Amino acid sequence: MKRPLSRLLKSPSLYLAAVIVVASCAPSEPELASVGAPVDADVRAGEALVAKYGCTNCHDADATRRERLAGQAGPDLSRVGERLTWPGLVTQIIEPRPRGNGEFLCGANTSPEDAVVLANWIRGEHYVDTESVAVLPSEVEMGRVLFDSIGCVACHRGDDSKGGLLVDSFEGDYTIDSLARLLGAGREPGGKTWHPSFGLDASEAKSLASFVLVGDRAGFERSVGLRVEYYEPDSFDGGEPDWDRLEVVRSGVAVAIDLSLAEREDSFGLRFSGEVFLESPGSYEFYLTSDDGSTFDLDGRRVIDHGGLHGPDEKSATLELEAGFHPIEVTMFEQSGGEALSLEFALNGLERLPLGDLGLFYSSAIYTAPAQLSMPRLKPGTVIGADDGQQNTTDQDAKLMFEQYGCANCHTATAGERQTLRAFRPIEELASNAGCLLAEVPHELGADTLVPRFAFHDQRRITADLELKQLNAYMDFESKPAGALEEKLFVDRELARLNCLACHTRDGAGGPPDSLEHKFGQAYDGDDLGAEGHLPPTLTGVGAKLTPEWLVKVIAEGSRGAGSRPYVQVQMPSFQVDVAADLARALEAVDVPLWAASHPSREEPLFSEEIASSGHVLVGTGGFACIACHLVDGKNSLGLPMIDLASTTTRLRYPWFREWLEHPTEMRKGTRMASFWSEGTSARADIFEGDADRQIQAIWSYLSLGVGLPLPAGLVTDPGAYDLLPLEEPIYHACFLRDASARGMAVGFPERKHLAFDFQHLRLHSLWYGDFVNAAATWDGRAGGLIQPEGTGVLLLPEGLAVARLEDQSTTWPQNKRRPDGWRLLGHKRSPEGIPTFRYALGETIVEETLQPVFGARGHFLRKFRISGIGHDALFLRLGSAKNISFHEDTIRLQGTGILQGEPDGEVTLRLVGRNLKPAPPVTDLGAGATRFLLTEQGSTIEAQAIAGDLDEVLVPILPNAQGVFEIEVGLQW
Amino acid sequence: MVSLFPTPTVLVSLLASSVLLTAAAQEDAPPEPTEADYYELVSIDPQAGLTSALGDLALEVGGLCFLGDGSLLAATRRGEVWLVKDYATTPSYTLWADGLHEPLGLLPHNGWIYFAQRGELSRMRDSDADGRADEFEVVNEAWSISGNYHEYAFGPCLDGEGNFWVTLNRPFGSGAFEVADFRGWAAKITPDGKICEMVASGLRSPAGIGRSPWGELFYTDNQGEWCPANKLSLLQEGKFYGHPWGIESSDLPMSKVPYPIPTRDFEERFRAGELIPRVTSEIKSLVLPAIWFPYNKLGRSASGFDWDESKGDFGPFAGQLFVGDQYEASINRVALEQVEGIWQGAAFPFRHQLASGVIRARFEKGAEANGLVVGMSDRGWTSVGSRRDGLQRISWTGKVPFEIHSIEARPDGFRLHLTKACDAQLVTTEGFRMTSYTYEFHEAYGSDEMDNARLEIQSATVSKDGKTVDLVVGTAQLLDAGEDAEALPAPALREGYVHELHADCLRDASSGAALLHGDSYYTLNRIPSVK
Repeated sequence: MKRPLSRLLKSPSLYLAAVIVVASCAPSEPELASVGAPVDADVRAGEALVAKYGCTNCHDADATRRERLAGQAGPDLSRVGERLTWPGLVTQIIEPRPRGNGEFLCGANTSPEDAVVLANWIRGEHYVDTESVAVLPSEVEMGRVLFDSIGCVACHRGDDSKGGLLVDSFEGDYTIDSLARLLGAGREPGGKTWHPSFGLDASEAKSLASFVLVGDRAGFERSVGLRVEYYEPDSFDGGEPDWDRLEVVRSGVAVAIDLSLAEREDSFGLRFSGEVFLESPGSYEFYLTSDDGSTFDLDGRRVIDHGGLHGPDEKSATLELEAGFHPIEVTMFEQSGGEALSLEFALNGLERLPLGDLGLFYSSAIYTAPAQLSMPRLKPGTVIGADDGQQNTTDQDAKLMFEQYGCANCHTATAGERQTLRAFRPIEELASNAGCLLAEVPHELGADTLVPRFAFHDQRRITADLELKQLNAYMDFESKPAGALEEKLFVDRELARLNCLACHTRDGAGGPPDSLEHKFGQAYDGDDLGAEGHLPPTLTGVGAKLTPEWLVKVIAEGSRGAGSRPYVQVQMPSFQVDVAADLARALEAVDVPLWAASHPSREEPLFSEEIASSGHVLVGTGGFACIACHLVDGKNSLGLPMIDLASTTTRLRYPWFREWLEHPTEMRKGTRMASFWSEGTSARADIFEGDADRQIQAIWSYLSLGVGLPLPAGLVTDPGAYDLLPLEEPIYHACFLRDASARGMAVGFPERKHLAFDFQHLRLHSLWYGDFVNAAATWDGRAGGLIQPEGTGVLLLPEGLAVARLEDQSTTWPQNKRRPDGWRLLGHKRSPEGIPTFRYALGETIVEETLQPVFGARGHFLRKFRISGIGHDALFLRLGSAKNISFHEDTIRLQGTGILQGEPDGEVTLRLVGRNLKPAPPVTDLGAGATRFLLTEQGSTIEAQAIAGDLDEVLVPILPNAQGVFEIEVGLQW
Repeated sequence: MVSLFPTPTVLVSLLASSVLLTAAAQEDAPPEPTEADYYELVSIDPQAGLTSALGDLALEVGGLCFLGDGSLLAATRRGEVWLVKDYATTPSYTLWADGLHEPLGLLPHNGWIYFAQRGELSRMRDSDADGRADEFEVVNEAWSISGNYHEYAFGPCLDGEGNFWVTLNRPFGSGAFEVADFRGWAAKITPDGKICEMVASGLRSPAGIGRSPWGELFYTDNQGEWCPANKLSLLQEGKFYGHPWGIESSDLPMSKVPYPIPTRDFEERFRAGELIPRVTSEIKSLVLPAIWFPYNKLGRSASGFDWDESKGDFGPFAGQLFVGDQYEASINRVALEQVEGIWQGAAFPFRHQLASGVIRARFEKGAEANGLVVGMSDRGWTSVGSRRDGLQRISWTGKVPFEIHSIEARPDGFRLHLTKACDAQLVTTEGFRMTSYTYEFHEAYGSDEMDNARLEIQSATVSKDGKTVDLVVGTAQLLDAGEDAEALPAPALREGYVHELHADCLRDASSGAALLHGDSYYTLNRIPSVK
């Protein structure tokens, strides 16, 4: 077979890129071709399309327009072989094939033979696996639900169940896995394709791909056995496992419901699903035996719930059932000890038999992406396989072809960065209805008319005619707009290009059409929240509403990374970070001046703990009860699931917040947000005399504490969740404490700062803020699990007691993992407010350690020691040890690993309460690599003396005062 | 006019006739009495809306004590202590303490409330009388735990010398921390808390501990490995109770119990199993239980217990022992007697249908008190009760049930004491069914009833007042020999065996009703030599 490639390579005209220009038909007479004529809407839109489709990648513009016309590059092709099948890649090179109504694709307009050469070269070493994939009905169904709910329909608006996705046109282009990879790619925001990313996880992406590629056309067939998934989580807490969140270790087909698939004896789970076939109707009694928990569902209903940790007990249930197929699901989990699973049945009181004696089936469909190409453009009967085109061509030839066809102008490939290597006629010289805007573009090789083919005329795209009209209008318009692009125009163009207005409104335009509103569901299964619950928020003035950082984050990370409205079903996708940054900047530039022109200026209030604690009251049930509707730091409200207040100051600009709180209904018609300062009167006149300004400032101050903020009064815990919420008073929780002992005491405070004390080792174990603990380990089932801090900023105290008897001030601090001899626990006291004082003793010496949280941001405790019965031994108190300790004015700073959990550069500040700390002591090279600072009292002043040590430590010699007692109070902040 | 509804007059006549019909039916066959006719259950429910640290109040009661003013303290397995005022009339709950580590007993003593936590014996009090405990002191922390869920500590129980006794569960599986000594032991702590001695070993899951009115301590243990059935035993210093879990600790200084057998190969020695009566000859320190509670016949998990010291306020069983069962959500009744210095006696079903698994059962103390307060939880171990947890009070309605009050062992049989006179005319030897059996001592979970024999009643003699029946047991025939083998003769009465009696023929002389509970279980450790 003669290779057209050779013809191509021999053609001198193609080596001379400069001589290849786009032929144009005679330009039609421009209608608006006078300089200074007003720019009409079609021209504006046409200009936006020029930018959107990256026309200037090929058609240079002069310096006055280059920037305003700059468009995006084509998709990066360097790993395209992992996305497209080989036939898909070849056909796409030959001709454009749109995949949806709005989408736009180009074809290189090559001969099939050259397409093969290019495809092989572009694909490189990466291949998609075209092996057949079994698709389950449940996956297709999940895909359908996703398609309908996350917002696919906003862009893919066609009438069919796939929103007009032109599936037939790319059916063979993807395998299920490769399409799933593409759809799920955006777990890193942005991704490499033009498609926005919804951050789908692997199973969601596979389901969506299965729906798109298989969908309704699937012929599902039954096979013998049940689908089974096998899990090996670290442990089960005894409650029903959330199977969908557990990682599947192995999956396959089982012919019996038993434990033969388990690969270990403890901590595993199995989930069987499929159908059982009943030959005869009748009364079926089912007997489920398991160790530990299990469930049995039939026809979508829970028949036997045998949950919890237990021995091999049996539970049974009787159902009247019709003959035929019935969907079933059986789950079991094993925590530890013995394990068992069996499911038996007896029909009409007859013999008990294993359920496997009835027919067990599962359904699946097989999807096979074609491995070979067969298409009408080729000579009938001609088939091109993956190996064709490899002979007689070199990578060098193919790369040259990639450049000469103009591919490199838009695309980066594995072997080359994108660069304009083939120049086409500049923008200013283009005419309407010419070149690539022609309905039929010649594709004969060697002809100087060779241009890429775009889908401008493809009538499967419902926007085709409109776009052509607009592009032609622009081409015909002689005094094309020039100069820098106005911010507002940039915003309009970006919103159009990214199709933001498919879901959002801005300045009265956009939003889903009425015909689609029913597809914008509410993810909250309670009251209908109205438009706020169904539709994404308006973009009108959004640049003045959201902080610049949050605006970028929302665009770049979408709902998954920056979602604040869990009750809205449709998902915000994520876009490339640079796109997000540019758009956010432009929105701010456009919207902030507009806002300022129509609103009084408001200064963001300065934070103070006193003001914030008033805000704390106002947000709780004792104030305006914001928590009636709003979540707070992940904790459910008393009713609706509205935006989490802990994110407020991260998300919003203060002026907008200030206005919103006072005039919500003016700002958003139909909002459920209540107004508490109607006609200037506050519902809480006792705080700041009811002054709206000061009250709103107080709320802002409190909310600015952000994640980990003290929770407002009145929240209610979900009993099933076992999260302990100290709201009104401290909660004491005795427990097995992780990394400590079986005698742990966790104390949680309303300030949302908490501690854990280890009674076995007589030491403060940790301090943290945010969530307290989850009591399931102590309270759920037989329990016996380990409690750990659930919050953030976990400050770990060094091992060993805080007090030790040392030979002298240079003795190494004892590193006992066990309680040192002679020490004993005396117990603890609680103040009327519930503040603990832990008491322990060595002989006559009694140590009392009081820990009191301080209201405010992050971690802050006062730690007070009172030591009595001091004898003649040299006793020392260790205030801290760290990799690095330094003195800064009146504070001591502890830094390094092991101080804050998971933070290698953790830092904690110590402050001596009620005493003056003298400035940093001189630290000379002590020769030991570390410094022990001894704090000694000189009147009301504390002086530090630096001596050599094994690690950086702060020690205080314990010396009795006039009353025979030693007392010191230290503030810890982190 | 035809109405679909009866007119008031018609309605009245319909009612009247149904009453007549009921009365007529009663004459034929009196309705069987129920437990509720004699012992009433009332839930001591928290008022609506009361919440603990985790939303709705979970009243998983592990410890109970009375404050003598109509209020009680209930400690929950969640570590909370609730003060329940006027619990018998209009209960009001307030949180008195939290953060106790799975407290399973409360003891008011010397102005403090003593309680065992998993890792220590402690005491607490409300020193400023603001309604909330504020001082928590360690009394003794000499025992250790490894961090296993089953390492419970029960008690304390005060002995006659003021010492505190605590029973310590053995763990199941490993813990997160170091393996602990002395699990499965009973600890005795001096009144000042300074000294802790490990005074009894071989305990498995000793969920109840209590001091008898005469000063001796008893404890209940739960069926499982080395514990063939639920049991009630006299708890004595220096004794071994069958479970080898912690016997290696015998060598440690705190131990007051020697290793059970001289050869120090306990598990090897009993690997094949041995019938209970024969084990005592091998293990001199082994204490056989005063009462076996045959599995499924008298519950599945014996728990807290208490003596009725009310001298009759709780009905006809004054001085007897009432033992909770966690699985069955029930209370069993025990009438002990001492034969030649050995405790034994009869156990009877008493009251079923409590709300949840019984953990604690305590008699009210005080002048007006006549109730048994029961604390419940089914968490982790299923119970037949309908609720997950709670507090209930059992009170006597004033009616005397027709029951076997107690059983006395005699050299040739048993003497049944009845609460009311029986109809002597109806008493026949065939009217009593009696079997005896023992258990196998082995590592496997529980034991079947072994060496079963059917006992023939030779004579049944009713006293003149009809309230005593003397049964003389004639021959016994072994039932376990297999279906084909002829029944073998056995001694009539056997020491170390449970003697199960179904007194079908006993009828209340006045009402004709059968026994409220026809079954009883006598644990015969000693056959008395003289009457």
